[in-house]
Formats: sequence, structure tokens, C-alpha cells
Amino acid sequence: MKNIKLLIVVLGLVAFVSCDDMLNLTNPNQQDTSNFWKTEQDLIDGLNAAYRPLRFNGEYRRWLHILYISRSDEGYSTSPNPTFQSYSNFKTINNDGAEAVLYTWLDLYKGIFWANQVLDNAPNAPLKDNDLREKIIGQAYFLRGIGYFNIAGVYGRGPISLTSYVEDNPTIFEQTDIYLQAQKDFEEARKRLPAYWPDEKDLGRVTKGSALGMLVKVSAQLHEWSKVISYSDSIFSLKNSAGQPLYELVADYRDNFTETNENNSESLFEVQFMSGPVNGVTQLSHERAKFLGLPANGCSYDDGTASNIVKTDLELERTIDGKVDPRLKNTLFYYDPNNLSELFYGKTWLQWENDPNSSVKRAKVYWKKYTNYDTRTTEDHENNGINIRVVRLADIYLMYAEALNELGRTSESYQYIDKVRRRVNLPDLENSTVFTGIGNDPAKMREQIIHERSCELAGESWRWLDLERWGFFDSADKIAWLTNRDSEFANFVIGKSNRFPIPYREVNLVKGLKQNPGYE
Amino acid sequence: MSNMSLFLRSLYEGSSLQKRPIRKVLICAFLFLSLMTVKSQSLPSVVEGVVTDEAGVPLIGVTVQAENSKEATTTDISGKFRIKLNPENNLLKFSSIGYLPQNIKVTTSPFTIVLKEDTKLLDEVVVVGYGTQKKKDLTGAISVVNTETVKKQVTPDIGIALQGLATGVHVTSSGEPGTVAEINVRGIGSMSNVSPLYVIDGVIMQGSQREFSMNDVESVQVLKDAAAAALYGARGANGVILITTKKGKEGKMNIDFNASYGISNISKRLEMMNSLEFLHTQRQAYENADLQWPGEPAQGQVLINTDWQDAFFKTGTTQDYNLSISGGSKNSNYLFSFNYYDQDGVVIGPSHQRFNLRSNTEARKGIFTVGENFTLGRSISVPLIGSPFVDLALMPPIIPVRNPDNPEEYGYGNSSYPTYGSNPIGLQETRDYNQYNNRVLGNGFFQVEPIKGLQIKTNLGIEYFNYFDRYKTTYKQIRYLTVEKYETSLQENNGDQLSWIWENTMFYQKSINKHSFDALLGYTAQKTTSRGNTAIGYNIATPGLWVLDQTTVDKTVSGSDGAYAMTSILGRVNYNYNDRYLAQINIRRDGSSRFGANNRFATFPSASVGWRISQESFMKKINWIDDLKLRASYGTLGDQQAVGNYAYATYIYTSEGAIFGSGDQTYYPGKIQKGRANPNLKWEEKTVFNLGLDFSLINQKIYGSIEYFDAKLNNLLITKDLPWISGTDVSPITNYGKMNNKGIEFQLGYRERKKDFKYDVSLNISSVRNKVLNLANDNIYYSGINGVSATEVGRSIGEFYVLRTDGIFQNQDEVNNYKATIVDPETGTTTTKLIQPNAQPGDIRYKDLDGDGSITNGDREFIGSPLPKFEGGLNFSCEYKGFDFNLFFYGVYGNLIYNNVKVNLESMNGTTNYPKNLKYWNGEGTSNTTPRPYIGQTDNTIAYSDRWIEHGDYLRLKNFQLGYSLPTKMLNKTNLLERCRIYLTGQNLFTLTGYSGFDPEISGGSVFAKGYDDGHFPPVRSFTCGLQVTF
Repeated sequence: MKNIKLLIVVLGLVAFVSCDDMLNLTNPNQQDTSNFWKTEQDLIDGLNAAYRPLRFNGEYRRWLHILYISRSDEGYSTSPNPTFQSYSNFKTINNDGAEAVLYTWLDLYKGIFWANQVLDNAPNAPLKDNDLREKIIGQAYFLRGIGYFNIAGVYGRGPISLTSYVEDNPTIFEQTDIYLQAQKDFEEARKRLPAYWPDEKDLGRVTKGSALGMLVKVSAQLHEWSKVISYSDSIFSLKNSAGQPLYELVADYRDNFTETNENNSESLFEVQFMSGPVNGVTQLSHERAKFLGLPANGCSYDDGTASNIVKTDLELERTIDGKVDPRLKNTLFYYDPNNLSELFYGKTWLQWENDPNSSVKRAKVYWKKYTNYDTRTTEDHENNGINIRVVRLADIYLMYAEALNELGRTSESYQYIDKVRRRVNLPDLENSTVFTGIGNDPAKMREQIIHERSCELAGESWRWLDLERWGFFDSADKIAWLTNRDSEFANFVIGKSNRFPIPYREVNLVKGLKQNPGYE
Repeated sequence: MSNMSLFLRSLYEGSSLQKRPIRKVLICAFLFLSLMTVKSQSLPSVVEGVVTDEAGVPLIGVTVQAENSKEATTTDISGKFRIKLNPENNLLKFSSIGYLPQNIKVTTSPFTIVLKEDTKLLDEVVVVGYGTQKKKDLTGAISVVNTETVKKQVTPDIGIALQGLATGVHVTSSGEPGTVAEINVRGIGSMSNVSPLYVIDGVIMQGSQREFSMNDVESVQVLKDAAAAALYGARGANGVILITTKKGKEGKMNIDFNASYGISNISKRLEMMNSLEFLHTQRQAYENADLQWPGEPAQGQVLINTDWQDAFFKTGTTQDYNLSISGGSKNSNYLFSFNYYDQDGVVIGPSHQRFNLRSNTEARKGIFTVGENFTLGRSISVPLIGSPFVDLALMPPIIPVRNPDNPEEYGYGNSSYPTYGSNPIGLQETRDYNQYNNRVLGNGFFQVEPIKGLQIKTNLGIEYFNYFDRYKTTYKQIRYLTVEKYETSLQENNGDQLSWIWENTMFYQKSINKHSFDALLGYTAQKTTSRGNTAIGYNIATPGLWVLDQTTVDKTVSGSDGAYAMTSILGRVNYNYNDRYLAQINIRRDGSSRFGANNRFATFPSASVGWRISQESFMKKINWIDDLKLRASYGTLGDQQAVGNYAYATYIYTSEGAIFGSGDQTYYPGKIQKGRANPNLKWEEKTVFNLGLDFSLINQKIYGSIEYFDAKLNNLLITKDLPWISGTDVSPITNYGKMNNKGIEFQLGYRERKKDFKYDVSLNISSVRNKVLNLANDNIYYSGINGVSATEVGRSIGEFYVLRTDGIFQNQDEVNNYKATIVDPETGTTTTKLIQPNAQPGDIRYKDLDGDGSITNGDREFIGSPLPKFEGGLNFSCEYKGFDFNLFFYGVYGNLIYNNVKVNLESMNGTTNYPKNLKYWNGEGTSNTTPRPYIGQTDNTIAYSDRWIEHGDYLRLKNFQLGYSLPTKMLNKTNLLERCRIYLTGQNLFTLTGYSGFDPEISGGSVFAKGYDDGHFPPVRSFTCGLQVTF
């Protein structure tokens, strides 16, 4: 009996033998970062992810459009959401409740971090195909460049980090330096990217033309006019596989805003969107139409509305056969007494006016570009797959004209303006009965270019940066002119309103990062 | 014989209610004599006697029953009875409420029997970690909850029932069926909503749903300090709630049946404007903003006038049935129970149903003991969808609940009456959501006692839980301008979780003279593995066939696995000298898979001492002190609940990708690192000092305790906000947090018995002060709705930080005169500046606290905490003859609430309804609190101002119960029932509060953002009647 009891005690002690091995558990759900960036597929997957931030809410899915369009004289906001209104009417306060303030900053820096991961790891990845490696690196440079370009454009201030490791106390740069960084990135991209992707399934990847297009844009913002000329010339000299010029204007202006004519010959850089969700993946589409569009039931919230001045601008001139500029109908929804049977989302203007679930008003005009008004009856957050054309050839022509004019070569500007006018059947500028007496006066030509850009590119998210480039935000006279076109400019404060506030939290968290003037 | 009884009677008549020692002696002598003579006397079949209490006072109404016989009687006014014996065994059973029952083999007649009072207070055995202790020997801080009062609450969740019953245990809950309470033991003990540990019959629970029947609960203890919770230290830093379930008792089989049925409703309505008043206000809002009012009703239009609350609220019902069968012999016991609980909510939509089966058995043979406690539970819940308690108030009355003009039947507004609200009724009706949970929880153990005093035990606890949710949605438009894309959707969530814990302990107990000690050594290992998946599909092909196979478009699946494991070595020594000096030492070493290999293990010691002053010889003279004990403890516990399973490494995410290709483009999934991690995560540490005094005075009539504690919380796991320039908005978890909780807990009770009237009053008050000592980022951390909460080092966690309002500008002069003088620090020139240049008469004036001449974030100030300064419970219970009565009040004092429903209603900017009789500004002198209505943004809509903060103090009659037990005499005639009680319970009958929302009891929110009333489901008022019978 005594032995049995002893045995029990011993057995009891055996139970105390510890088994600490059971504490070594690995995550069954996710790959550890230390095992990644090892294969060609890893790099391709990483690059795919680096494209994704372009479709973030803070970028081309939503907020960039609202910031660049509604803030400018092209648009205004009567949104019932006061924060939304404040993006447009310069009442944005230093308040972290403002999504556009937050997400544009966050999403742009996310894009930079993700592109940096590719840039950090691609050079050392054990890859046989060095050509592929270079193309991957080129795309990543471009994507990082876009991040810095928009940081400069929206906030005008911020840190620059060129690796995926971030420093605790980064150096803070101002707008010019950030544009210069974007310019460097686009240069690196341009060196590595092909003129076109031979395989159709790669359509939509950025190309040499994309990089050059952005180089034109960023150089113009820096007023580096000769660079604008040379980058544009490089664009014009790009050839397709048949040896023909790679880029030319599409015949129909409307092809720039539809789902069926994406990545066409006019398009240099296009953010790819598709209707979703696909296999549960959401945010493949953009919400531009949901926020900027026709306030018909289920279509747009109409948080940002087009200014009537856009219509006025487009109605100044008639085509050579005496018709309304075709760009008007492709740019805006408006009440057209001559065409009452026109259908928008399946109903006529009058039907929408009388629908209690809609607030379509005859006195107003609404943004039509990038909407599905002819193919669907509603817009939702996931169904708008129309690619956003960020840079297209018509824009480059007008930039070229602007650069020539700024360099004193005003007489050479005409032909590039006329290329854009001819496409929509307007008379050449020299023959215009409305715009006369420009001659070789650079100041008059500058005004004309402002008008031409307003008509051609209305609602394409460039007006704000154009106005900044033209110095409109530094002059009380110009602000008064803008206030005439968009009364919201009455709230514009020179030295403050040209910039968006930096998110409050960031100013707290980043040493040396000062809030933009006027928002402290 | 008769002489003897006469003698007795005269004795009593002469002494009635006084204590007379001599009387006891006489009785004892008499009993002794009786015993001496019994052998020589034959026993008559009818015996008589007297029942007294320990003081010799005769007891009235004591039930006397003859065993295995129909015979029963009760004692008369002088404690006398007369009964016919069962000649087979001569056994009599004596029972009376408040006294320990006794069985006596009658050997003589007449005789006297002394019943002992059922006063468990001092000798009460308390369940502690891995064992039991006598309450008088406790040295740690343990709240023993009055289980009787717990069970008087009509709720399926024991957490909800604990509110106000234990000091230092802060409970908040909502009225939504099937939800569980949120509990903080001794304040907020972590920076990530960690709840206390639940241990049921020794099994550490992993899930939050506690699916077991309240009827099965035998005792509840809350372990509060380091010493008490030490043996559960690895997870016990935020308190341990120990629940022991009932076991069968030695004796014949008992069959207990309880049934109750109740009705409930929401006791408070927000009085809202009717359509006419609403339209009047709306028109002013438009006019003030210089906008055309679209809402002008047409001539002769009949105004719809919807009371959204009437439409949404209904009477709820609660049913609870419990059957238990128990019994036992000397070497074994058993208990089986079955419970069915059904709650139909007080609003359209939610409900909760639950079934429980329990089996508790134990058997002994020689040195071996084996036993098990298991429960099987199944519940079916229908959750509340959306935030209807906001929508109810938001929705303008002019919108009908159902609108036949809309193609999809619901009313949701139009361009004349736009609203951001969703039709709350439509939302519930178009969603058919069901959540099915199944749970097995229990343990089996085997124990040997090879040497007297040495117990070796192995215990395997298991909790297996699986869930299946089926969410059927029929899309119909229920919100203005929100057109649904799909017709229907079906979502199914599936998953399970298995936790096992294996505990091996050796316990040794020994007493040598006045020294007694016991020691416990244990090793425990536990592991939890879980998996879950979700499948969603849209547009079912055949109406009515709600299976995933029938969904046609956009089908998606997702799923993940998880696991974590812990091992611990633990030890405890108790020492007791002469029941006077007590000491305890605990030590444990814990390892957790949740930390990287470098910080996986940590050791946590604690110690406590107790001094039973009343046992000292110099105290013996003070006979009004029954017990007086001073105790102190100090120790450290660890916690790891706040960290996820694999948080110390960085991972590649697969959910982000690119779109390329012509025509129908293709989506290419990508892979990227999104977050940045901290590889050096380690255990949270909580070091607690506790000082307590327990007392029991005047024959245990007065009892109570006072407790002081000071807890230092170090290395608290807290997410550190990285700047977004780092390219991530995933905040990594770190050990930067540091807090201090200090508190006082006080408990006092008085109980008294006067003849058959017995009552007990007890009061408890707790107070905790929290102070944040360190945060991960700056010294201030903003959180909550509209960033209204701020946690600042040196203050209590999550205080409200807002602008101060200063009335309303009554006229333009007041706007123009509201100026600040600004001195330029460089030039020294002064300028005056309008502080609110955009303000109009009727707008709110804010205080420019930083004097910079404008209203900015810098003008915000701390105005108080959402955590109560004090809270307490007051319980009164009494019994008279067969009646019993209980009243239970609970109250909190000193907390603030952010009323976000009010923000929606009284920002006066547009598309919502307004409170009835709202006196908004409408010309000079009309209001100094509510601004003019105005469509659009003004400073009046600023959400971080003190306008939205209200006091949350309240006093609630939480429970009222009146019961009646049928007299035993009557029951005996049935020859079936042993006990029969009927009762009526009222819950949350009234609440005294100044709070204007539905209810001031707010649960939920992160620890940094408590006290937000964002349309929470208020606790409900209910009336329940019930029946308890024992066969």
C-alpha cells in the first residue's frame, strides 16, 4: 500500500513536467515579412499592391477630385454635410473630423510607403530577368512620384522618404522641393518604362508616356517651361509598333470619359477602374459620380456641383457649323429646352425635376464627365468603372502652347491650341469671331489659354493646380475675378486657402512638421 | 411527564425574550436527564416538545415533519408542537427559514430542540483559486456576492445581475436581448477594454457569452487584489469572477422546478415635435439660411404625423423555465438541470432564446475522488440592426413608417423632407438575422489523497464553442437617396473555438498545535484554437430558398485561424497561527505564445497577511465585537489579453491589388506589408497594495468591511499612433501605458430578527480614482465621437475635453462687443479682434479660453470624466411568515455623458426632428441655451462643446421582489410538494436622473471613449411573476 501511495506521488510530480514548446506558434493566416520579396512573383505581387493606392478614397477614387474640382471656380458645394461644404468654400478648419484632409494625406503616404517597399527590395531580389526588374522599378518610381506630386499640390509641405524605413525626425520639405522629388521619380520611371506594353493584358500599366506626361505637369507647376517643351517633344516623338505616333487625339471628345474607350490613343496616364466587387474585392470603382453628378434618386449625392460659369464658358463660341460646343453636352448635365427627350439614368430632365426623391433643379448644372448616365439607372459606390484619365494629349497640347507662350514664342502656341479646338469643330483661334486681337501678346494669349483649358479640361481635376500655377491665389484682383465666377472665393484667404491643412494628428506626431499658415 | 412539561412552560413564561444563562443550563440538564432515562421508557407514538433558538427563545412556525410519513405540523406561539411519529424510524425533521434544518431521532418525549441560526457569515467557506478558504481566514480582497440577490434579477447574464452587489465591481449593460454586461473590477485596468476573467467550476472561460443558467449558480466570488487573484494571475490582473455551480446534496432526490413569465418595455420616451411643430421649425431653419423651404405643404394636404417611437417600441416578454434533479449519498452526489430561457425584445426585431443542460456529479471511494461538471448550451439570438435609437429621434414625423407611394413600401423622406436617418422599422423588417451558438463547458477531475492532508489533483477543463450566423437581407429602400444595388443577400458566418486547460495541483495541509499551514503547487497548460469563415452571396435565384447555393452574384468567402497557448507554474503557502495571525505567499511563472521568444516568460509574486484582532486576549472582554480582522496584501500580476495572437511580427497582406487589361479589365491581387510591428512586446504588470478591515459586531447583527487599494499598472499594452507619413494607419501595440487606480470600498450591513420577522439591510459604496501616468504618443490622446474625449497624462482616462459655451448672442451688438485684445509679441502693438466674426444673433457664444481672439481647439478644457466618482447598491430584504420581500437600489454619482443623440437633434442645422417644447432662439431674449435653426454649417454645429455633455448620475430601483411560500402544513397535505413559492419581480421600476436621453446607463466604447450615448439600447423595465416548487 505504501508503495502504491508513493507511486501516486511520483506520478503526480510527472504531471508537472513542463512543455514550453507548445508556446511556439506561428501565424497560420499571414506570411511573415521576412519570407517575402524573394521571388519574381513576390515582386509582381508587391507592385500590384503599389498600384492600389491610386484607387484609395484619398486619391483618385474620391477626394482628389473633390479637392481639385470643388475648391476651384469650376465647382461649389451645397452639400447638407457641412464638412463637405467646407472643402469647397474654404471654411475647412484644423479639425480631424474632415475626411478629405485626413485620407488624402494618409493615402498618398501609404502609396509612397508601398512603392518604397518595391524600390527597396526589387534591386536585391534574386531575379534572372533584369529587364523585368527594371520595368518593375520604373513603375514603382512613377507611383511614388504621383504620391509626392499630389502631396505638393494639396498640402504643399511634408516629409520625403526614399526608403520603406521611416525616420523618427524626418526633414520637412516645402512645395517646390516636393515637386522636384516627384520630377526626379518620374525621370527615373521614364528611363525604365517602355513606350507601350506589347501584351494587351498589361494595358493600363504606366508607360514612358505616363512618366513624360507627369513630367510635363510637374515641370509646368515649377514654371520650368523649357522642360515642358522638351518633355512634350519626347511625347510627340513616341512611336507605336507600326511606327506611327503613339499618341493622337481621339476623334470623339466623349471617348475620354467612357468605359468603352479606355486607354485610348489620347491617354497618357489613366487610373484603372472597373465595376465591382469582383470576388469580394471592393473599391475597384471610383465614387466621383456618386459625389459629383446628377442628384437623381440613387445617383449622386451632389455634394459638389458644377458652377454655371462652366456652361457660360462653353457657350461663348459656336462650332464652325454654328452649333453648341459639343464639349458642353459631354461635360455637364443641364436643362436643354431644345432636347427634352434626352434621357439621364433612364428619365428625362423633367421627370427628374418632378420626382420627389430627386433634387434636380433647372437653374443648376451638374457634372456629367465620368458618369454612367447612359448605361445605368443609378450610381452606386461600386459600379462606376470608368477609368479616370489623369493626363491626356489635349492637356499636353495646351501645356505646350502655354510653355511656348511663357517662353515668348506666342506665335507658335496657336497651332497646339487649334489642334484641340479642331477636334470639337471650333474654328481655329485665328479665325475666331469671339476671341480676337490676341496677336503675339503673351498676356492675352495667357488669358486665352486659361479659357481654352477651362473648356477642354473642365471637371478633370486640373483647374485648381492651373490656378495656382497662374498665380491666381496670390493676387487679390484674381481672387475677386474668381469670386465673380464662384462666390465661395469670397472666403478665400490669401496665404492660407491655397493650401489644405495638414492633419492635426500629424502635426502632433511628427517633430518639425508645422501646420500650414492660417490653420494653426 | 406532564409535570415536566408544566415545569418547562413555567420556565418560559417567566423569562420570555431575555437571555438567561441559567435557563440554558436548566434545559441542558433536562435534556441530559431525558437521555438518561430514555432507555427505560417506551416511546409513545405521539410525541411533543419545544423548539427554541440558541438563546432559548421559543420559535414559532417551525415545520416539524415525521420522516416517511404524512404527518407534519408547525410549532405554536410558545414553540410547542405535537406530532405522531413514524414508528419505523422515529425520525423528525425540523426546518424553518433562517435556521439550519435538523433531523432528530426521537428517543424521549417531551423534549426540546435547539435550532441553530443559519448564519454563514463567519464560517462561510469561500471558493478561492484552486481551493476553498474560510471567509474568516481570508487575507486578500474578495467580494462574496449574495447569491440570493443575484438570483432575484431576471436576466440571462450573470454579469448584469452582479451590478451593485459587490464592491469594486462596475457593471454596465444594455437592454438588447442576448447581450452581456461590461464589467470593470476596481476601475479600468487596461488600455484596451480587457474584461475580468470568468472561472466556472475552475474552468477559465475564453468566450464572452456565458451560456449557462443562473439557476445553476451556487456561489459567486470576485477576486480583486493581487493576492486573491494570484493563482489566476496570468489573466487575473483585471479581476476574477469565480462561479461555482450547484452540487447535489446528501439525502433523497430533490426535484426543483422554477418557472417565470415577464413583460417588459422601454420606460422612457423622448418627447419629440409633431409634424406641425417640426414644419414650423424647419421653415425657420431654411429662412434663417436664406434658402427656399421645399417643405411647404400643399393646400389641404393632410399632414402625416408619425410617432416613430410608438411605431418601433412594443411590449417584450421573458420566459424562464428550470428543472433540476439532485441528490446524493455519503460518497456521491449528482445534479442534473435543464433550463429554457426566452426573451422577446421590447422593440421590433431582437430576441434571444437559450437552452441549457447541466450535469454535475462527484463520487468518492477511499482515497480517490472523481467528478465532473458539464453544461451544454444553445442559444438563438436575433440582433438589433443599425442604430435605431438614433433614427427614431432623427426621423421627421412628417415621414410615414410605410409609404405606399414608394415602390418599396417604406417611408424615408423626399426632397421636400430630406433626412439622413434610415427607417428603423424597415431596417429590422428587411433583415432576418439569426445567430446560433452552441457551447460545451465543463471539467472532469480526479483526485487522490494518498497521505492524510495531501491531495493530488488533475483537472481537465474544456470549453468548446461553435457559432453559425445566417443573415438574410431583402433590400428595399429605407433611406432617402440610397437605392440598393442588390435584391437580396445571404451571409453565413461559421466558426468554432476549442479551449482546453489542464491543471495539476498538489495540496498539503497540516496543523501542529496552534500552527496550521497549507501549501499548493501547480502546473497548468492551456491552449485555445479557433477558426472562422464567412460566405456572402447576393440575389438568390428562388425567393424563399435562403441557402448559399441559391445566390447568384458576387459570392465571396473569407476565413482565418488562430491559436494561443499558455503555461504556468504556480505555488501558494498559507500559514495560520492560532486563528489569529494569517499569512499567504503566492508565486507564479507564466509563459504566453503571444509574446516573442525574448519576452515570453515572466514571474509574478504576491503576499498577504491578516490579523484577527478579535482573537487577541485583550479583545475578548469586548463582547460586542464578534470578529475584527485587519488584512494587507501586496503583489504583482501579469496580463496578456490586450495583445493579439501574433502581434510581435510584421506580415504581408494579400487584399490589395491592381487592375490591368483591355475591355473587361482584370483584377490582379497583390501583396504588401501594411503595418509596422513591435518585436519586443512583453507582459502587462499590475502591482496592487490592498488594506482591508472586516468586522462583525453585536452578535453578527452588524457586519461589513472597509477596503483601500492602490494599483499601479505598468507596461500596459497600448497602440502607438504612428504618424501617417510612415505609410501606415495600423497602430502597432507597445508597452508604453502606465496608470494608477486608487480606491475605497465600503460595505455595511445590519440584520435583525424579531420573532418571525427577519430583515437585512446592506449598503455598499465603491469609489475608484484613475490617473494616467504615461501614454504611447504625446501626453494627450484624443478619442471618441467627434474627438470629444481626451486622455491626458495626470488625469483620469478619457475625460471630456470641450469648448465652453457662454449663452447665445442676443443681438448684433453682442456679436460686435465680443472682442479680444491681441498683443503682437514681436512689435508689442495691440489689436482688437472679433472673436466670432461670423456669428449672427441667435448663435452660440463660445468662451475664448486661450485669449487668442478666435475659437479653436486651444479653447477646449477638461470638464470631467465619464466614470462615476461613486457607485453603490442598497439592498433591503425581509421575511415575515411565508412572505419575503426584496428591494434593491443601485446608483452612480459624478459621471458625465456625451449625448450624441442630442447632437443630432439640437444642432439645429437641418434634417432631423427636434425635441418637443424645445425653446430655441427666435428673437432677442427667447433663448440663452439653444441657438436659432439654420440649414448649413455654423459654429452652432460644433460637436465638441459642453452643450452635449450632461450629468449621468442616477438612482435606480433595480429590483423589487415579493414572494410567498405556501405553508408547509398545507403542502404536506398534497403529499407531493415540499416547497412552493410564488413571486412577483419588478426590474428597473424607476430611475431618478437628470439625464435627458433614454437612459444614463451607457455601456460600450473603448476605455478611452466611455460615456457616449450614441443611441444605445436602454435597460428595460420589466414585471415578472414566477413559481418555484420542490417535489
